[in-house]
Amino acid sequence: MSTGGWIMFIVSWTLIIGLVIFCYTRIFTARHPHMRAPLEIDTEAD
Amino acid sequence: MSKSEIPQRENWGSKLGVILAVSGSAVGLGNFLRFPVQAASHGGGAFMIPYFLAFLLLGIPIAWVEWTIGRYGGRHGHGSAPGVYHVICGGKRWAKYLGVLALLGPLGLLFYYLYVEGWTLAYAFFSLSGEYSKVADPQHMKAFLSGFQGVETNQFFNGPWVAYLAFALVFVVNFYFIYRGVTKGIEKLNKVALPIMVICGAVLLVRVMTLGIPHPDHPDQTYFNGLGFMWNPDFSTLTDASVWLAAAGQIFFTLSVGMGSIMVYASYLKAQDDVALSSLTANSTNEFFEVILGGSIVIPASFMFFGAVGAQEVAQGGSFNLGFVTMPLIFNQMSGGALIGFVWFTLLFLAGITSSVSLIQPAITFLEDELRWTRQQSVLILGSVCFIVTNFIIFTLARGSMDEMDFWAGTMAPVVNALIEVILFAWVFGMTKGFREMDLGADLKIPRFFGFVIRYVTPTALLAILVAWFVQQGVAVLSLKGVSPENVFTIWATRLILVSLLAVLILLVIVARRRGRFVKPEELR
Repeated sequence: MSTGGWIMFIVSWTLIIGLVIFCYTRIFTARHPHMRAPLEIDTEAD
Repeated sequence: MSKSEIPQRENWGSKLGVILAVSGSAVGLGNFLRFPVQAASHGGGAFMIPYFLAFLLLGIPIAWVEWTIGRYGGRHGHGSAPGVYHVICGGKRWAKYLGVLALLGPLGLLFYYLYVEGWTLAYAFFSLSGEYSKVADPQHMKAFLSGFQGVETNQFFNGPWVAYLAFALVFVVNFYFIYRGVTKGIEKLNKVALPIMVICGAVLLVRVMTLGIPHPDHPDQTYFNGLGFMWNPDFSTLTDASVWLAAAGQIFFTLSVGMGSIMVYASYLKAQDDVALSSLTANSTNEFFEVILGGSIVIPASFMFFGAVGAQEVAQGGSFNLGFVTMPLIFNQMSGGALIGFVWFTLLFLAGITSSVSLIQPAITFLEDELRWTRQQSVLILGSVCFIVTNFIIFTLARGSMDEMDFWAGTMAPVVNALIEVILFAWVFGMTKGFREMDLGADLKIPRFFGFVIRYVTPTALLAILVAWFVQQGVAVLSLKGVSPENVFTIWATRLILVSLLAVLILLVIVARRRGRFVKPEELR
């Protein structure tokens, strides 16, 4: 493979793998402001 | 003014579920067969420049639009394009009829896709049973495929009956998952299939990388030289407009945008579910399968076994040739080839089934949402229509019916439909409202630069694709130039089926309107 081939190959792989890692990291660490954590829910009856 | 009740609709079981379902819809046979052929024959590594630009300016924005209008439509009780266009256009009378094209496209594709999916299943079994293991040259392997397809009768097959049996099995399995519903059927299927596909892809990649030098008398036929055949850039091709069109077409094809499936899947999201990050994640998953796996397996393997000239011929021979002729020949020459062949065709089968269920769902959603048919009625009626038309395709395959169906339903309809949905979103729904909708529950803030892209760049690019097609091939395709006389009748019959289907779909939209299904969004509660 030529130097140009290696550059295009590595840049393409880096872009795609970088995007996949970015997206799935955000998916699994995203906080949902519209969801309440269990401790915030008042379960005691008045 | 009386208010209409929004019917209760199904929701996805999890965020990952919908992402995997959309990814599964996008990842198809094209990721492993079409992409490497396109890249190798359009400048190698240089192809990736227009490819990534098309991904950024066409694929990502159109997918965001589809996810956004799908969720918006679902909130108003509509999941398929006629209903979704109706609500995003504020109840304008004409809008719902434009959505018919987004039902026709996936249906037309489905009519032959299930048959091809059956081939992958049959070949997976052939790999294990050694059915094609004695076939040693391309000519005989092509004859094996033609005999299997029923295109000719030869020493391997005396009719398409094995292929037909595989189709029947695949047909039942597909409609079973659809019958089970979005959560219990489609979501569960994709949650199992996608991880298996990653494992299959990894196994194939490792096997191809560790083949060494398959032909000691050709020491230059190594994996890395094979990668070079695929990736070495020829920047002079970038001045050729057809390379840019091929890249845009590939992005379109691979991400399944314009098909209506993403919109339908997104309509089953909850009102506050994210669309921005989920859409980008599904796109990135598809690109992983295409660039990382698709770009590293078939072309390098072809180079290692057949050399540069052979690989060039393979690239020019088309996707089916690559998948069902070249790859089996390669498996026959490697140790453990039967098992690797099984892994390859299992990967294609899973890529196929996760896509085909997404081709069925738009019409099912339309029948359920707009005509209020039950799931059983919808599956029964659609299944019957699909079965009849697929039989027509199977028995007229040699006469070009599949290519004709693929051209109108798989190539033309998605581009036209994407143009319609982007114009409706950017110019009728409006970008201000559009961004507000995209940002609702978003886990990722979409850069505002994409407002300009969606409003101007994407529609212009789509129009350019359509105009370029018309200038280059339009008249020839419409007038059947170059078609052999014995195929003309079948091609017109295929076109008649598509036009009839279009008429039936328009009629069903009229029936739904008369039943009061298309009320104005402000009249809903």
